[in-house]
Amino acid sequence: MNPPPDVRLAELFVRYWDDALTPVEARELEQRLATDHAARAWFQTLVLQAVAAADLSTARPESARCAEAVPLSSEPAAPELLGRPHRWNRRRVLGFFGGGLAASVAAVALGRWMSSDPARPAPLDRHARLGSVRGDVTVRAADGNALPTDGPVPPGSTVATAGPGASAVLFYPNGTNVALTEDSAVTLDLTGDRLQIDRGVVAADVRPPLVGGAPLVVATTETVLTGDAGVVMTLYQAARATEVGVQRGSVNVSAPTGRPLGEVRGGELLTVGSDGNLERHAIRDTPDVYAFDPTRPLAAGWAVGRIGAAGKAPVLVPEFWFDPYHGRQMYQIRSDKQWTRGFFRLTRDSVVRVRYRVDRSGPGQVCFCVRTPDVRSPDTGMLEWNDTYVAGTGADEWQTIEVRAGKMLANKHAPKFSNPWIGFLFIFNTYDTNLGLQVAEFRVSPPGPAGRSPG
Amino acid sequence: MTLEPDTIVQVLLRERLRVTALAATVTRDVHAADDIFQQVVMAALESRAQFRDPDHVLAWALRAARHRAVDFARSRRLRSLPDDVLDLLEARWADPAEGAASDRGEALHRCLGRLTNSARELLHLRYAEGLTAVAVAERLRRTVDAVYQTLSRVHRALRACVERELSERETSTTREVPS
Repeated sequence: MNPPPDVRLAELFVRYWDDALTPVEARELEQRLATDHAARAWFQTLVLQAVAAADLSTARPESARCAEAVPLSSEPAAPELLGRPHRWNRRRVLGFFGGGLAASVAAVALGRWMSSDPARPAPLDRHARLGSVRGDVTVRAADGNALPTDGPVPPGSTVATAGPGASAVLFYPNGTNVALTEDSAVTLDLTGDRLQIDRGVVAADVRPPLVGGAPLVVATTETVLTGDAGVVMTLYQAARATEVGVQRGSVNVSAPTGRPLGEVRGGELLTVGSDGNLERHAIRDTPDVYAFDPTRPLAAGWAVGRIGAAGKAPVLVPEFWFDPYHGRQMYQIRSDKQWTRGFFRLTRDSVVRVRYRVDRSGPGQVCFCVRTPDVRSPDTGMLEWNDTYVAGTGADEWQTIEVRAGKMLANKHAPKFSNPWIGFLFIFNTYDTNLGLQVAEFRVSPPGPAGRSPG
Repeated sequence: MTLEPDTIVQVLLRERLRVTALAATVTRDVHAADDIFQQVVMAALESRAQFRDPDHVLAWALRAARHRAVDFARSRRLRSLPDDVLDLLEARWADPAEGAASDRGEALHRCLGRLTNSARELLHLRYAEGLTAVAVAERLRRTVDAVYQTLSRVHRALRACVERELSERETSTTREVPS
C-alpha cells in the first residue's frame, strides 16, 4: 500500500536533504513538486522547519509543555547531552556583536555605507571576539595577563590553542573570521589592523573593511598578506616556511621587507621558505591513495625524524624529542602538516599499511591527525593504531601492520565527524624507548578488490 | 528615487527567513544558507541603485540567493532540483500571501519547544550540526532507516502541531470578537 502523499513527500524530503535519493526517487520528488501545488506547500513547510530547527539548542525550555511525544524508538530514550556544536558558522557569529541578529547584520551592513560624517562615532567597537572555543584555548593580553575566552580580545592579545581537538574562531566586527586549528597561535597588533600568525594553521575568511577602516593585514614569519576584496584562505606557519592556500578570492603576498612575492588566487597554494624559496602549486583534491617515498628529501616543515638507511635502502627513523602533548621526551617520526592539501583521504575501509622493523619489541603507535573535507573547518580528530612493534628475526625481520582506518577509532580524540577524513599529519611513536624503529613503507589505499582483509 | 540603505537592510531582515529558506532548499545546509543571506545583503547594498521599491528588493534577493545556492550545490556536487521546479518554489517564496507567516512562524517555534528531548536532539544533530542521517545514526546507535523514519514523523508531527495551534488561535480570536 502506498503511503499518503504527505507521508511520502516527507520521506523523500529527509533523503533529499542528504542528497541520498535514488534516481527514481529524485524524479518522483521533482514530478510531485512540478505538478502538485499542495506538495510544493508541504515542501516549503519542511524547509522552514529545517531552518527553524537549526537554531535549536539541545536543552528544552523549562516552560515547554509536554505535548505529543515523538520518540526515536518505541522505548523511551534518555536524552544524550551534547557538547558545543561542531561547526562554527556565522549564524553564531552574529550573536557576538550584541543586540541580536537584526542589529548585528544591520550594523555590519550599514557600516560600509554610512556617510563619513565626522560627528558620527564609528559604528562598531574594533575589538575582536572569540567564539566556538573547544579544548585548551588561552587568551593573553599584551601584558601577559590571562583574559577570559568569552570576552573581547583587545589589540595586542595572543590567542593560542593547544592539543588535539583544540580550536577557536576569532571574529572581527566587519565579519572577518579566523579559525585557529589545534596547536596554533595568533597575536593581534596594537592597532587591531594586523594579525600575526605565530604558529600552526588558521583558516581566514577576510572581509572588506568597514567604511573608514583599514584592511586586515595577516602576517607570518616569512610573509605579509594583504587583499582589498574578500578572500578565504588557509595559512600554515611551520618552523621554516609559510604555506598560503587560497580557496576564494586572491591575496597579495610580500616578504616582511616589503618585496612583493606575487598574488595567490583561488585554487592556488604558495609555500614560502625561510630561505626565500617559493613553490607554487594548484590545490588539488586530496587523493585516497598515498605512498610515502623515502627516496625523496623530507618536506620543508617536516617536524621530527630523518631518513636513515637499512642496508642500502632508505628508511624513516625516529628522533628523540620533547612531545608537548605527552609532556616528555619520546622517540617519534612526525610529518610536516599538510593542512590544505592533505596527505590522504580516508574512509572507514581505507587500508593502512606499514612495513617496519625494530631491534626489540615494544609498545608503539601509528597516528593520523585528520580534518573534515572542509578545509576552513577547524574540527580535527585522531586515528590511532596502538599496539606492539614486533621484533622479527631472519627472513621475518621486516614486519607489516595492515589495518583499516575504521579500526583506528578507539581513542579519546577520535574524530566526532563522519568520514571521509583528510589526514594532514602522521606520526610513528615508540614513546620513551628506542626500539630501533625503521619504517620502509607507509601506504594508504582504498579498499582493495581481492586479497587480504586486514583486521 | 532609489531606496536608502537602511530601508534595504530592513526589508531583507524582515524577509530573512524566506531568503534563507529558499537558499536552504537548494544547499540543504542551513548554515550555508545563512552565509548566502549575508552575501545577498551585502550585494543588495552594492546594487542599491537599481531598487525602486521593497517588493523589487525581495524578488531580487530571492533570485540572487537562488543563484548562489545553486553555485554552492554545484561545488558540493549535489543533485539540484530542475530549474522549472525551482521557478515554482521561488514564486511561492515571493508570494506576498506567504508572508502572513509571522503567526505560523511563532506557532512553529512553540511546537519546536514542545518536542521531546530525543526529538530535539535529532533535529539539532540534523539541522544545527548539519550531520547526515548516517552520522546521526552512528551517534545515536540507530539504523539509518530508523533515523529517516523518525525525522519524517517529527516533521509531520510539527506540521500537525502548527495547524492545531493556528486553529486554536483562530477559534479564541473569534470568541473575543464582541457581539
